[in-house]
Amino acid sequence: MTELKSILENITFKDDAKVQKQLVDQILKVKHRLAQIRHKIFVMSGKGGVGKSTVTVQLALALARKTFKVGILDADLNGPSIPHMLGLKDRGWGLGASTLGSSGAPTGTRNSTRLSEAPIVPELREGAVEGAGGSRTQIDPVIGPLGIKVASMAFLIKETAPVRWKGPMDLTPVWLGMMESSTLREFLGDVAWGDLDFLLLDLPPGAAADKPPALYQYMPEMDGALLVTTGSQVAQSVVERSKQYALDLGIRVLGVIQNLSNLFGSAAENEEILGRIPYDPQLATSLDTGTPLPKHHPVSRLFENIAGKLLKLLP
Amino acid sequence: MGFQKVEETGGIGLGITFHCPQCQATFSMVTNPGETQMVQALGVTLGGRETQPAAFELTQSMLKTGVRGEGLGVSKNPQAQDEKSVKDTLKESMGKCPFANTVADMTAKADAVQQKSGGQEILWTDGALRRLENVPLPVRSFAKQMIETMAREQGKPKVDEILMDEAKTRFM
Ligand SMILES: Nc1ncnc2c1ncn2[C@@H]1O[C@H](COP(=O)(O)OP(=O)(O)OP(=O)(O)O)[C@@H](O)[C@H]1O
Ligand SMILES: [Mg+2]
Repeated sequence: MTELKSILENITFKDDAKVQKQLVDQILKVKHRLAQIRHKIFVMSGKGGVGKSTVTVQLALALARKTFKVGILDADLNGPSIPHMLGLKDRGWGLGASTLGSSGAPTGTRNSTRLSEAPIVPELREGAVEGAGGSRTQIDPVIGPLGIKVASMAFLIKETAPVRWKGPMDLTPVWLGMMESSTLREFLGDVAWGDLDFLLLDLPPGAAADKPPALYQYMPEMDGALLVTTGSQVAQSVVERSKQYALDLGIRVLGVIQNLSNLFGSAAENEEILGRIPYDPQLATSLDTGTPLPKHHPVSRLFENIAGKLLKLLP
Repeated sequence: MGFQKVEETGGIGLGITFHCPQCQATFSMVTNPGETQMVQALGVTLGGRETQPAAFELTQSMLKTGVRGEGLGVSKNPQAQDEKSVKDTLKESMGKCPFANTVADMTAKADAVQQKSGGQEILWTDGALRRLENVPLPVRSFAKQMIETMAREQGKPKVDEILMDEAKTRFM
């Protein structure tokens, strides 16, 4: 036994594959990027379709109108809706063409053959693009109304295409989780966010509950979360659960925004509630057509008020 | 303890056997495509890299979905190059190294299969998918790949229950 122990102690760990260094580099890249962003706020809910993306967009507009520099990270990888709501649905990053292999199940050798023999698209040839080794290490966010900087999966994929990954992701949730976590890391680290006062992160609905921790691990210094709920009892109990969940993770709950307040009846008066947003047909049209509501619209005013309260909560 | 042999396992991995002439003990090590995939999913290159990774390198290379391609063009696929050189290196060392020979064999076989099936994605019938669900989760993706390899070998675009039966007799 002691023998084994001494053997183990004498084994020195060598990072021959230089994997550790790369992982550290990845994290440093994110840290460096996030250091330029003053406030990072999650917009989340336990339930789908309650208005997270709506709140994210309206709050971003309100903050931008207060002359803050605002970015939105659409962290809903499978159902990105921010670009549509901001009239950016036809925009794309056009990174794609290098992803040539269309078939699944990449296995070590077979995949390598396919890749090495894939025809090289002319515009992707080495040296054709700026940057070391013919590749860019960062990409500019798409600029939306009022200068809001947006990054979304929708800029990478064709509009109606569902997001599917190569490999055994469809069969093993662990892979899927790892891929999505890595993708979120790239959204944080590879987008040239620049100096921002606010980065709002629109999270996917509750079922994809592993996203908050995946994001949180990259930004433990984030300010906190806004929880969106509708007035219905179910949605509220769900939000109660997400609140507990956020708190368990160490995420501060900044406040609750009650959406569709006129449809479900208002929740009891509560200092946590930063605002109540009624159903508004003009808001619906605005989101649908991607044209922001004017500054003086009642809904814009409600969000101006929410933004004001939020500012008081932040350091 | 000395190296004894290297062989192909299931068409997607290598089994490497070591043997001790004194105590007659035999050890086998099997490479694991799952781990390769894990390394891929972390966005790292084994052996380190000289240049910084391109923006969205991982997301781009792992997305199966149709990707928008408007020619803003960020990068060539960095992996493509690495692996080409691996292949060249393999060719050069053929004949000398048992690993190189086995891997070259597997590569050639995979190439042939690839050509036969035109690199098509293999589809699954509902029945076959249901049968696949009976395979224990930890090895399911592995099984899926092996069966798809079989389908490609036979030039079949689709995995059906008949092929599942064949696979069962072949692998079990
Ligand atoms: N207060 C409102 N008035 C009018 N329409 C609204 C309002 N809130 C949300 N909507 C509409 O309801 C739909 C769902 O809202 P939204 O996409 O913001 O929800 P979500 O919580 O982000 O959904 P998901 O969970 O799918 O991401 C949208 O089409 C939006 O236009
Ligand atoms: Mg949404």
